Amino acid sequence: MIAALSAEIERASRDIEQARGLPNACYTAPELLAHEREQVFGKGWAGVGFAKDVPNAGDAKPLTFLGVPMLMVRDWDNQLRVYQNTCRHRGMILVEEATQLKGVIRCPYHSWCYGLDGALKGTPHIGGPGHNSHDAVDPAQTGLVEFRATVWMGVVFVNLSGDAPAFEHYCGDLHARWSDFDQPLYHAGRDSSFALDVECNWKLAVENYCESYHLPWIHPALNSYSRLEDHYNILSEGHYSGQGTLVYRPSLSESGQRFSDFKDLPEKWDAGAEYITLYPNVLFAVHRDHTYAIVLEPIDESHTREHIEIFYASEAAIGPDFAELRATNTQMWKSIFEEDIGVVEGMQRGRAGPRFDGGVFSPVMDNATHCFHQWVARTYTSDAQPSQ
Amino acid sequence: MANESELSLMLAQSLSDGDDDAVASVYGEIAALQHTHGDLDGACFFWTQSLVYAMVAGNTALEQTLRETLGAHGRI
Ligand code: FES
Ligand SMILES: [Fe+2]
Repeated sequence: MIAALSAEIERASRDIEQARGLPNACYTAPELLAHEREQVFGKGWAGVGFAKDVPNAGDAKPLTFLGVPMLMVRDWDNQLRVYQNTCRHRGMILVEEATQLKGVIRCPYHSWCYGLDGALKGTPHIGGPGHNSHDAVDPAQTGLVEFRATVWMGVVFVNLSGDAPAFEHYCGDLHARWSDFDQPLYHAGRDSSFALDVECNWKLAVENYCESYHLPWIHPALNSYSRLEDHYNILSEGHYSGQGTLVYRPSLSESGQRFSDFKDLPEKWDAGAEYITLYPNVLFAVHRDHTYAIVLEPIDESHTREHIEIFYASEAAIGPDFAELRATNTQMWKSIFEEDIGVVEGMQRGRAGPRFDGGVFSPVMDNATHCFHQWVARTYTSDAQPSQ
Repeated sequence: MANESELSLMLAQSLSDGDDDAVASVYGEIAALQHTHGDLDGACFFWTQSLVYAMVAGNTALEQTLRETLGAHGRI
C-alpha cells in the first residue's frame, strides 16, 4: 500500500511551497493504520497513558494501545514499568482492571505468578500435581515481556520496537526548551481529567492542534484576547511542532483567586504559553500555572479517543480551596477542544472526496502541520525513525 | 484443628472474600491434614495452592516457609 502511494507520500515531504498534504488513504485506509503501528508508533516513543494512574508501589493498570495489551505497574522500588499484559503460558490477559497488588501478579488461568519486576516466580503444578518446576521450562527465560517505558510531563511513553533512540534524544531539544517546567506536577483527580471521542483519524487531531490559523474562526471567543498575530509557529523537524502565544492570561476566580505559578519561571512565561505535539501522538501545553497533556489513542483509522489530563504547579492548587477554579479551568479547555471537534471530523469526511489531493499549505500559517506531514512521510518509509 | 468439611467451608468463604492471606492459610491447614494422614502428594498439592496465595498476598514469611517445605520434598 505504501509503495502504491509513494509518489504522493514523497510529495508531502517536499518544501512547503511545493508540497501537498498526505493523501486521503493515510486517513481512511485500515492498512495504513496497521503500517503506522509498526513504523510511526512502534519505532518511536508513543504516549500510552499517565503515570498518575499508578501513584503507589503495587498499583497496576491495564491499557490497550493500538490493540496491544499493556500493563502499567509501579514496582516495589517505585519505578514505573510497562509489560505486555499477556501470560507467558497460554497467553491469557493477566490483569483485567486497575488494582493494587500486594504481592505477585497471578495469572487467573493456571496461576503462574510474576513479580513486579516481571520475573516468573511460580509455576504451580507445572510438572504434575504438587510438582512446581519442570526442566523444560526455565523461569529465567519466561518472565513478562517488558516494553521500554519512560515518563515525561506526566505521560507514560512506550517504545514497542525496543530500538528507538533514547527518549531524551527522540524529543530533540524539547527537554531543554521546557526545562523551566521540569518541576513536580500535581494532579487533582477526576475534576482535572476528561476524554473526548472524535470521529477522525488521529493525525487530524495533531494537525489541528499544531496550528493557530483556525483560531479566529473556530475559537472566536479565545481570539478576542489571544489574537492571531500574538501567536508564533514552533518547528523542530523530525521531533515536534506547534504554536506559542504571547498573551496567556491565567484563570481568575470571581474573588480574584488564581493558581500559583511554577517556581522561578523566567519572565517570558509571564504571558507566554506553548502548545506542542511531540510526535507522534502527545499534545502538550505549558502555562505559568498549569500544564496539560493529551494522549491521542487511535481506535481505528477514523476514530480517536483524546485523553486529557491537567496538571498544576503546587500542592495547594489541587486542594479543596481550588476545586471551583479547577472546574472552571477544566471546563474552559473542554469547551475549546469541543469547538475543534466539528473541524477535525469535517476534515475526515472531506477525505472521502476522491479528488482531494492532500491539500495546499499556506507557507506562512501551516508550517507546523507541514512539519508533521514531512515527519510522517519520512517515517512511513524509513528503516529507523529520523533522529536529526 | 478444623476438620476437612470445616476447612472446605472456610476456603469457600475466604475465596469469595478475596482474602488471599486467609486462602493461603486454609490451604496450608488442608495440606497439614493430608500430611498427617500420610498423603504426601496431597500435601504437596495443597502446599502449592497455599504458596500461590501467599505470594499474591505478599506474605513473604509464609512464602519462604512453603518454598522450604516443598523444596525438602523436591517439589519446587
Ligand atoms: S495462561 Fe497464564 S497460567 Fe496458564
Ligand atoms: Fe483549536
